[in-house]
Amino acid sequence: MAAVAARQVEIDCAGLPTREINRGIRRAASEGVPEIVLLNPAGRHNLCVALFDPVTVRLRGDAGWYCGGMLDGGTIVVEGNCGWGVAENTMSGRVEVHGNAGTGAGATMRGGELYVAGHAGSRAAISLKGGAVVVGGSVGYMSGFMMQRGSLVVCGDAGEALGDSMYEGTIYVAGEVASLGADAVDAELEQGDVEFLRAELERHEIDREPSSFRKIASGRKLWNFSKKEFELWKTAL
Amino acid sequence: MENGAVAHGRVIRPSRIWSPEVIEDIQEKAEIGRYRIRAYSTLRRTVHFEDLTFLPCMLTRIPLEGYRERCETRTVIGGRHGGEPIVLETPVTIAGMSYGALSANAKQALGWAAGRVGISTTTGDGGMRPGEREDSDTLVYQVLPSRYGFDPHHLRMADAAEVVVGQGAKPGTGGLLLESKMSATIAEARTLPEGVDQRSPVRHPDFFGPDDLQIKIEELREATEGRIPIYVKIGACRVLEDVKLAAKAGADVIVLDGLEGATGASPEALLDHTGIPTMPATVLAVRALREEGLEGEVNLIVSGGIRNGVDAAKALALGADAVSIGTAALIALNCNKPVHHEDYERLGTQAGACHHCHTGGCPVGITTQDPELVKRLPPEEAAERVEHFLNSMTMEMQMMARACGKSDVHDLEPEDMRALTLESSLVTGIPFAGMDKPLALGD
Repeated sequence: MAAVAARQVEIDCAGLPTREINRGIRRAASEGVPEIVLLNPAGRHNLCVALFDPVTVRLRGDAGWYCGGMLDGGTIVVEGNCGWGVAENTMSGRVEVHGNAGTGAGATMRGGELYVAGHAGSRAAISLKGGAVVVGGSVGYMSGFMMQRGSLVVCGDAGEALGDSMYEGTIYVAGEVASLGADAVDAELEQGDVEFLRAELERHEIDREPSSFRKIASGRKLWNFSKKEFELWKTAL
Repeated sequence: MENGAVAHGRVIRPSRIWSPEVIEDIQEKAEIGRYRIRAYSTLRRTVHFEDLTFLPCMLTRIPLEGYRERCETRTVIGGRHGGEPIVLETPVTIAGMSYGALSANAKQALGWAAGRVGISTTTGDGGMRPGEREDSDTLVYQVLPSRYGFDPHHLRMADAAEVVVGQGAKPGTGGLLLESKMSATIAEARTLPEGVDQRSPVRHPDFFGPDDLQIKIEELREATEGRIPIYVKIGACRVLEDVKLAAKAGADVIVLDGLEGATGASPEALLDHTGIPTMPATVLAVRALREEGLEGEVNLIVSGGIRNGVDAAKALALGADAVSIGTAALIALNCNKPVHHEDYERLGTQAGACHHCHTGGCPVGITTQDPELVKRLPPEEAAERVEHFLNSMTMEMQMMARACGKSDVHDLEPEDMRALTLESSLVTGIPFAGMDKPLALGD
């Protein structure tokens, strides 16, 4: 008879090398443990990296850089703040940050979802290739830079050069936008956008009116070079 | 236009400043309204391995039998941090070239040839092509600023990871893939709209400087449980400092790409006016590792303008562990072969002088996504040519080593060479031919 996996496993990060913590997570996940709790993460870098199992990992505290990087399928909940590159290159799955996130939150994500309850630093959702980045607070400059697909939802304000050189994808902002980047343009909020926003806002219990969001998309003028649009290219390059 | 030529009884006196090339360049820019873009490497003459010569044994040293005696070429790199090292049967690797820049047939042929010779190939912008893992026995997976197609499952399947900070052809600037090569397949692999001019970012999205790079390298080690070596590729700029920083950040292997490094598309100004040549860059990199006490611990691969086994042997003699080739491998595939002349003409060029990879109209099926052109490169025949060329490189390296009395190509050293130009003597510290000590400014 197969052994029944524990419902929850705790790993105390204090004193453990990062490699051992991540191995412990993978081992427990492969044994079918549905939830793993990390105690004393203490801002450690590279926790829960390249986790491919459908498991929930709960961090009781702050995480350092690249928390949940390259995630594919699991759920990571950070009960604190995160450093740079949280959830970078996520393929699928979900990362929740209850505090703030540093630079490059959700960088190059290809799928899945990142939710930051607080603020995110500069370059949130940079080179986003899919999935959704939802930020309860504000985002810093150059967020959505060279975005390719997917959605960035900002419930607070956005810093300068928002959506600079974005190929495709959609950015929604509820608050003020310091400035749009090269070739980022206002677009009309359509019914599908409102429904998407309503679902995201309800899921995260954010009290905002979906129809009040500003929608930003690519002007598509940088897709191919045109000598007649030098002023745009001068800043884009 | 030849200086001193006579036309209608008058001497033609073309300007050296406003030469026909400069005139054509200005008028072309006046037409296209931007910088010029082309492929390949710089067209300039740079200080090069060509400027060195070996000193084979006579009475002061005893040579090995040139055609018979064993001369080791096996090269093991990447073991600095305990990962499974990369074993190269000969100190050559195939440089990172993307599926997109190259056709699927070209990538496949390179993978097969490398496998037969016992060396590695490298992915490129856009990630791992379907089948690329199977085509390549030893595969290095690039981590590029764009992260187009980056997949952690592919990272885990790789034998090494290479964080690309920069390249020799256009250091300080991201990659280019123009509209004509952005087919539906390539666009989907990169999550881009079909037919766009892809201008890749140069900065990584989640790290900038050396301290950040250290954490990124640790992340890659976590993702792969420390199983694979991590390379860092840099363009040759401030080599002494950059190599030290890459080593400090935790690189197992540093790939140093000199000014002569080539590319599938680049602003021409960058090709010709950025970076330093591979030979002096090699000298600086070796010095950097020596000053840090890391020579032999951090391995060095140099690339850019390596044309044959003799260039490779000279790079090894200067202290590199291996060389990487791109253009030479493409030429072995058939690049610039004098066939399909009408297609070269259509591109405004001719066989032997074609550097039009960026157009996507490669007459020999290498740097194109046009299915009809790709058919001109049957992978099996192409792989055989590259295999033969790689074997010739090995034999030339061994030839130089044996003549210099060395039973391992890695035993070649600067003392085995003399410089044929003052510049090469100055930048390498190798005595000028006919002199018994290095030249130094101030001597």
